[in-house]
Amino acid sequence: MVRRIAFILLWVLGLASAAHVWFRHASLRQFDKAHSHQWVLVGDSHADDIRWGGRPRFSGPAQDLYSSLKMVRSLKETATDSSKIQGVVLTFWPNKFSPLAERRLSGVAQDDNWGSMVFGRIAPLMTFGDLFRNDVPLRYRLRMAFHTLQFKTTFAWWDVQCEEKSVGEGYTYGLSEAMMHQNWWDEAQIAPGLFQALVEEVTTQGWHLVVVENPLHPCYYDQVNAEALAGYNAWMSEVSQHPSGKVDWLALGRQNDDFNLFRDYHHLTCKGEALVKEALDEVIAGISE
Amino acid sequence: MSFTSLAFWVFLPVVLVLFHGPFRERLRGQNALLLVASYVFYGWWDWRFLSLIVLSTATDFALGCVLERTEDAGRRRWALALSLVVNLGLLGFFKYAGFFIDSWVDAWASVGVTMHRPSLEIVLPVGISFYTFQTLSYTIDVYRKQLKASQDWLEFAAYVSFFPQLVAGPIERASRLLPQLQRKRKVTEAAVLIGCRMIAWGLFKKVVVADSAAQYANAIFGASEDMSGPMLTVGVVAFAIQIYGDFSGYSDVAIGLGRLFGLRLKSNFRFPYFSRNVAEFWRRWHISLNTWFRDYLYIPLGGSRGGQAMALRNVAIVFLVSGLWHGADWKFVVWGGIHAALFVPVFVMGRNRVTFEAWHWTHVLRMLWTFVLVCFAWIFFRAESMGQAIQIIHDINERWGEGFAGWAQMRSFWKATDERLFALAFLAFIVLEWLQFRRGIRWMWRGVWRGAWVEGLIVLATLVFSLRNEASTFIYFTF
Repeated sequence: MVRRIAFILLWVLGLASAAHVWFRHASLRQFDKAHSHQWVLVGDSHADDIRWGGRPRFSGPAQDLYSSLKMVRSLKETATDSSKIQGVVLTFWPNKFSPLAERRLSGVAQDDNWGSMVFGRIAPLMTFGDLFRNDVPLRYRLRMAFHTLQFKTTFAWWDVQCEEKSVGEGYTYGLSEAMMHQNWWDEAQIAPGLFQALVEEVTTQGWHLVVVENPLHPCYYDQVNAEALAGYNAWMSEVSQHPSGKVDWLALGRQNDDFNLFRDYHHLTCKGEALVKEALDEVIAGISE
Repeated sequence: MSFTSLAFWVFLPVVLVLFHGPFRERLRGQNALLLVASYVFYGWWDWRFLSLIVLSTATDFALGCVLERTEDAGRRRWALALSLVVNLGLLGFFKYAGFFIDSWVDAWASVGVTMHRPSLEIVLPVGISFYTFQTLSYTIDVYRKQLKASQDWLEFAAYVSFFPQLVAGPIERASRLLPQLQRKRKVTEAAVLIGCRMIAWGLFKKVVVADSAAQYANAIFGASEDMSGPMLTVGVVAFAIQIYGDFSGYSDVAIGLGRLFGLRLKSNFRFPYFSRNVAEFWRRWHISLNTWFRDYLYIPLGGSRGGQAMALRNVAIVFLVSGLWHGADWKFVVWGGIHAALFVPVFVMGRNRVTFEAWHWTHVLRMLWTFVLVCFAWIFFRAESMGQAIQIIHDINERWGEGFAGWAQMRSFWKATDERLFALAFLAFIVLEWLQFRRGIRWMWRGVWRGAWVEGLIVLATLVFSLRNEASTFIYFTF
């Protein structure tokens, strides 16, 4: 019986390892292809709000900062001399430092399907070395390793269709108690380091980083903890003064005077998307010149 | 606690260690442990409903003792009637009260009389349809003198609540399980191996097959009004796969767990989708329920003893009641009615007991046709309402020409590789099921090392899909 169990375990482990190598290779091919473009988009569902004109997008709903960092690292890993990449666009907003984001980054199992969804996108890129890198707590790394068993490929998405239907006038959405009453900026432990690491990864490669903050519905600013928001803004301003001169912060969060821009408090309609796209194109054009 | 939850996989080793460790040589101790473990398992959902199991257990244990001690026909009938009232009363109140009240109010409304509709908001206790049928069968068997009443409340309570099969079957007869609880159990290494294989195969069916198919079925039934005929057909077939994987998977896990405790549970499924007519389907699908209805409803109603007309009436009653057993909704009654209508011609032609011993290639065509008929009935089972079921049947017919247009849209967040891996796992499942059907259930595991390769693959596939798919509860928990 013991020999049998040992045999089964070895067989499963061997098969799983071989499959991971295969899926990692398939995933890296996606990043490989991205090098034929000048700009690559990385981020969460906010990135999915932006039509991107045939450029690759490594994004997904509720994508955390570590996943974005890992995707940037995969881009670097696949870079060759013939790479055309000039820069990376990262969609971002204050909630990336929220208690929820921190809880997710801690590796604690979530009640929703978050782990399965996000690890399914990031685990194929994992290397053995990632297990020993302290960007995120060990629990997160172990869960990511376990989720390599999803046997998925990390894909680049190419385009999205925007939605016309907006929230009505007088729309509001209640933020969580923690977001309203806690100085979550001061309490954030993991996310700031990850963001800093992402900035360094991009800039040391000689690429530009454009951090885009999409418009957020006024109800968000009416409720969010002012102290935390001030801390976030100050820090982002500082980051955008990066010595390399290659970091831009496109802060469109407050450009929110028209409710027709929103399909919920932080996602955009076609109209909202057009506003972001115009501003982003301008920044990119400026850099490309 | 569900077999697919982390809590269960912490709970199980603890119970097994205690069962085979400190309680190894103590029969009553093992029964007590099984009882406590079963109550913990059940109470994990809602401890308040344990009172219903205790009530059903205490009633039938006491009535069994009464039946054992008296020969007085009148008192015996009263004892049986009391068991029926308590068990069917529990089932009727918790499962059907709302349904009957609604049907009553709707019936009056249809002739223009408006009645107040009381809001009962009764929560359906998990597994109530299963354990009440177990306790009922015990009392009926004792009444019929086919079984000696248990004199040990501990073994009887352990029988009623044995956790592997408590909430979704197989529905075990006391005549089969009680004797096993009364004698010392011997768990061999071979039995453990068989048990582990059954558990692994059951989880594979649930996690890989059922939960994956559920994503298609749920997406299509959830937006049926926007779906073309072929898409709706895919949805119906996906549900047929889902419910088979889900329910037979649960049964396999239950049977496998039973083996780990030295107990043999009844086989509940024998490749029903390879049936060559509807009668054979019902000999292969949910066997423990169908034999229950045969022994405690069909035969008491007269079976086939009163001529063909009486037999047909009894068949119809069994199928309609079976439909209602599945859920308090007219759509389940219609589902039972459809199966009755499909069964009757086979019955009239005297082909309901044909066993199809000699294989012939035309059997494949018969299987496909039977599958189509069964799928047609599943539409009523799965639809949210009678209205939706009728609309789906209408749309399958009317919107056939629209092709698979909605496929890409429905699956927009799934990439091709996901479907490829599921397709691969599903193909392997069909092949393994077929080989087991044709070459015997143990074919897959034959040979020490071939078995180990297959076991490894099954474990790996189950792990992969348990991480990919959103965990869902077992369908039959709601019945």
